[in-house]
Amino acid sequence: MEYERLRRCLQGLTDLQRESISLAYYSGYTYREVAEMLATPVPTVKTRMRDGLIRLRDCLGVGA
Amino acid sequence: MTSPEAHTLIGAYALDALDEADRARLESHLGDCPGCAAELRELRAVATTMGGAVPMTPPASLRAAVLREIEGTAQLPPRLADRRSRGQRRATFLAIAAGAAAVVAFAALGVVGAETISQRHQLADVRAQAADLETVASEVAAQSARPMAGGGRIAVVSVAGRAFVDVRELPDLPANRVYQLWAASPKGVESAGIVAGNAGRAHRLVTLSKEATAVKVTIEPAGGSKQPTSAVIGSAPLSG
Repeated sequence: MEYERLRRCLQGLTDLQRESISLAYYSGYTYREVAEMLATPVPTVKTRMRDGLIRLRDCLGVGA
Repeated sequence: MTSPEAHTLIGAYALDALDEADRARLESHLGDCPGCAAELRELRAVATTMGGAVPMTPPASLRAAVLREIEGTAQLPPRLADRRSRGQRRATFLAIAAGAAAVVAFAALGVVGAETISQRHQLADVRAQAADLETVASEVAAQSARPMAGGGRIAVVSVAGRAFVDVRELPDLPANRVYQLWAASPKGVESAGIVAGNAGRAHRLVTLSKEATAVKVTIEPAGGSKQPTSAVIGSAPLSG
């Protein structure tokens, strides 16, 4: 089931990757706002969003 | 502008998490990046998958229960020298109510990891609900607010390594100063976010280390500091 798979893949991310992506995608914050909310440097959040999505892509096997 | 730095914006771009200036920067980079289109297509596909899963919003019954709890919760008595007063039991009750409100707010805010939302258009509902719950959490937290030196109040509700920090009635600062929050532990202090000097009030959701014992506030130069550079003006211990 797609949803179960997504859930498993999200659990495979680091906390920072998962929180960054969730706050941006599901809560609609910009990455600068996410950085402030997570008290994490802006460049770190930016790269975690990309790393996290790439890891999700590999886990989900989408877009290949 | 083509640079590795601009390229890393592609993740935030796929999540639609860029402001205007950054979006323009990334789009200009896309123009001369042959590999970018494929990467962007894949990352967008991931985001679409995230949007295609099952919705989760906190059940209405939970929110109703929190609101009922708040209604039946007495305000904290004035702080007295002897902490072991009859108010203590009520304080515990309040802390539980505050904790429950904060948990609900976290659930709505983060929708973290396990559960997801089916359609982007549901986002508005969830956001409105999150805003509601944030308000509830702020108000509950504010009942245990502590005054800060020079004005303003700070309140903190913490649950399982995360803290909801509420600061309010903040006096305006000069343009080149901001309020900065710190998570304090026996090992030292770590930045927990910045609040604009003219914001008046704000709340933040902060992830804390296990050792953290309190949230403190200082006034820092614009942009914030790595470590506090001025005296602590406010402090609140972590609950729960």
